[in-house]
Amino acid sequence: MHILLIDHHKTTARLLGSKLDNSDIIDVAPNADLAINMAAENNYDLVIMEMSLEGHSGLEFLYEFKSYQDWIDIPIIVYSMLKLELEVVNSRAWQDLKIISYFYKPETSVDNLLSAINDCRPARNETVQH
Amino acid sequence: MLLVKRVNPPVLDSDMERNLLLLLGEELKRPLVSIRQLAEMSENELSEQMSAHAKHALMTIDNILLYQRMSSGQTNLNLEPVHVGSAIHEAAKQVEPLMREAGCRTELIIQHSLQPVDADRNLLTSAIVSLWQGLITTANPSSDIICQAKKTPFGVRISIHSKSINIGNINFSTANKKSSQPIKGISGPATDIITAQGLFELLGTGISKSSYNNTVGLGATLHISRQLQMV
Repeated sequence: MHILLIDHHKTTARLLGSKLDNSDIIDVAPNADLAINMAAENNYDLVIMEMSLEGHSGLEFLYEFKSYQDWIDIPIIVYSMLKLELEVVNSRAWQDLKIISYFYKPETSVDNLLSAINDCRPARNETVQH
Repeated sequence: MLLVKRVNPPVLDSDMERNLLLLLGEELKRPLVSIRQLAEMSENELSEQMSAHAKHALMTIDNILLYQRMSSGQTNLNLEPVHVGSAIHEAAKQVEPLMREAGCRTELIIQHSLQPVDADRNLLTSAIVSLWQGLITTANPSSDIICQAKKTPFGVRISIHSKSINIGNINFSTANKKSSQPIKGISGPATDIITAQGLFELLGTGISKSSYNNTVGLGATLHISRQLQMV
């Protein structure tokens, strides 16, 4: 998989780099602006993002990202220091952004995160159209 | 000769104090998350301990911040019917790494016929987690810790019991006051137990200790002081 990780904390990138398959490619964007530019130049299968970003917020990024028809179906996992209330995660607005999983970093084990990432892998015979 | 002028420091505005506490909490969480992530990358014999302790510290910070936000009115209580059993199961999942690292065994005794109680689900779960963590850190290694919920004529009683615990007499009415002495019999500031007291107070109850033995092996039970009302 080609993954876009939007997070300015280097440990997260190292964590994923050490745990994912050798065939997975992880591009790291430390902020939302760079993430948009990178998404325009690459075909990503998955976005993993921190909500507390420098510059534009994670929420602003989400709304912009999902406004582009080409990217509307790219799954997004939120892995964030921001603790979101259940009512936000269950809200219609959040569901409309098609975020497949939300993980609060302090309470999430690596295994849980990897499991969610693996759930996004296309089946062997399936090709992902962007 | 250097003259030192003593003046009283300015009293911090309560908003300033609140903001500093929130900022401090968030600042402390970042390196702890990194420690946890690095521990989970390492997979050596110490990494599980590091990860469990980092998680413990993170949950303690979150519980303190939750108490601070709710007690200052920044966050409202969301009251809804909550099955105490489900809150206990959720708390058990959260403390499981620490239990494992301490070599403690869990037993859950949840009465079947319990009706839901009117509570803030997140607050109730956090209060149980906080109390449980406090007991883990004061119990001897490889202890049994039993969490129980049962119906009484007055509502639902939650208690956590350990047969192997070093915990002295605690005056819960003063434990969280600035002038109180450190709690005897506990190595460390018993932050989790005091935080649990605060969180349970926000639920309209508190914590009582029903055994006063200070001898290892005879145990102690901490239970909520006023039963939670069923809806």
